Amino acid sequence: MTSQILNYKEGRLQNLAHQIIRDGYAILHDQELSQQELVEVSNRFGHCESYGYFMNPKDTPEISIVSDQKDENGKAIGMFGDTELQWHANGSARHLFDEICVSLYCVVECVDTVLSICNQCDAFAELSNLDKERYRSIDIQLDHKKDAIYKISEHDLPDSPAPENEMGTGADFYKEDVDRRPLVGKHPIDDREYLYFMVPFIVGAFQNGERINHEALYDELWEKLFRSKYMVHHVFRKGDLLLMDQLHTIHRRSPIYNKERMLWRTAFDYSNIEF
Amino acid sequence: MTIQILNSSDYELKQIARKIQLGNPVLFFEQDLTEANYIKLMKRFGECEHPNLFMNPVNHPEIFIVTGKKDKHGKKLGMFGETELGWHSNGNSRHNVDKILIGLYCVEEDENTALSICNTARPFQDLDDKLKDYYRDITIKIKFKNDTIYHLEEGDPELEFMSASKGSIRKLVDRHPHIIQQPSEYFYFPYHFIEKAWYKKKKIDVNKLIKDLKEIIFRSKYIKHHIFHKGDLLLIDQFTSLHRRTPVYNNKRLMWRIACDYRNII
Repeated sequence: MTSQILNYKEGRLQNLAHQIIRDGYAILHDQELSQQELVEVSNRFGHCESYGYFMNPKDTPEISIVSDQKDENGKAIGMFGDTELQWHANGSARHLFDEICVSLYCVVECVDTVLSICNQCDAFAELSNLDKERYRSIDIQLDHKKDAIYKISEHDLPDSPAPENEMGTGADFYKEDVDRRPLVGKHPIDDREYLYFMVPFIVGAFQNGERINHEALYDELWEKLFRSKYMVHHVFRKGDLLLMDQLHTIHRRSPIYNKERMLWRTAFDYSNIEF
Repeated sequence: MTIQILNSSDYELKQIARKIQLGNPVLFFEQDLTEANYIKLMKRFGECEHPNLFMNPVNHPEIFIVTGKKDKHGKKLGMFGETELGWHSNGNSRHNVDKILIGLYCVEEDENTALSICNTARPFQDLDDKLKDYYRDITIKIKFKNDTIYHLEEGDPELEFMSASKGSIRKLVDRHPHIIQQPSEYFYFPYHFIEKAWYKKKKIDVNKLIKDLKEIIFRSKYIKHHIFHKGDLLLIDQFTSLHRRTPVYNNKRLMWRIACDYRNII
């Protein structure tokens, strides 16, 4: 019998949190979780995001349904559709956010869909000292862009608006009082530096306060970060629970074949774990 | 600088081989291989297959081109097309499978295509003794069938090549010939091609056997996944693992595949 995360004692959960931060991710197999139990597990790590959007079940708004399934009226019940998803992480378009761990629990699998995780911390560690210094002097500006991760506009029709439109975005919604953040961050738990290369949402870059060509920076970072040796890949099977640190890693997904594929996703901080 | 396998000593290659034989895929990133030095590398492990078929370059017949690309006349340049490939390993339906080490080197990548590798030794080792004994007494008959791991059109030279083997009758559970000092039994389970099965001397329901074993073997904890980037070299054992591929999106994806044995390294 595979050990169930629901039964983890405090020390074991703490070890798991350490593992997520050290490796960027952890995968547990053969887990048996209800929506309430996934929320319970997530809350043991820390505070969970909870919005009440179309993809959040009413009784467990901490969960976001990730699926292309539609209800009987043809309305989407989940987010992210069935297409390829560009590299992203939770809070990609924000300069400040706390929920830096994401869980993805597989309810219905698709053996032809793969999630790739790229470790931005390992990538930074292997840069030359010259590059490290230069990147440390750069700030990036992020903003929400429609179609950045996937093509929402393809199902955003005048007579049938995309449900994603109801989701809050931008500095006003998140009450941000800053308009940029360092390209190189320090993780609040382990203090290791990571590249924060939020691919689809970079709208500007500044070096020592002076605006620089962010598109050239984008191309340069792409080459340095997205290397096979920094990546791991996972095909979800029913019962798999993936936990990913959203500062040390970024992720993408290949297109979906089995439209029934369904994941439950939560995003939380580590405030209940003693490090 | 990333470690280049070409520079590995014989001792290091032997250690790599030991790891692969246990059913663990071994990956090298950012390798700088030509056809010639790739072949030279694999020959350090053992003897390579070189059947001189349409997918073997004339000057480097040990290489099998794996791609969905076609030439200007619409002829296939490589094997395995662009669709999903079901679970398989090299030489599944052959009577004598000896080229049990596969190298896959990525020349052109497709970031939406994944290869999954399932360890078939660990599921056996995780069984209780009673089930181990049961499966040890099972014999299977294996024969290539079209429209299982993939579809091949009539007249396709790949179909002719794949169908050429008469098939084999062998034990479901076997011992890896090169594993020493560790449990060496593994499931040989290319289930698409299993036609018949016997428990001791009695014929049994092959569909039920396959259904039961799928649940035992294809569990997420035994499976690893990889998306090839240019320069990646994957080495996998064909007894202690099975592999499958998701459909290919970028038809330019190109891999060089070599199958060899371990005779020069063990």
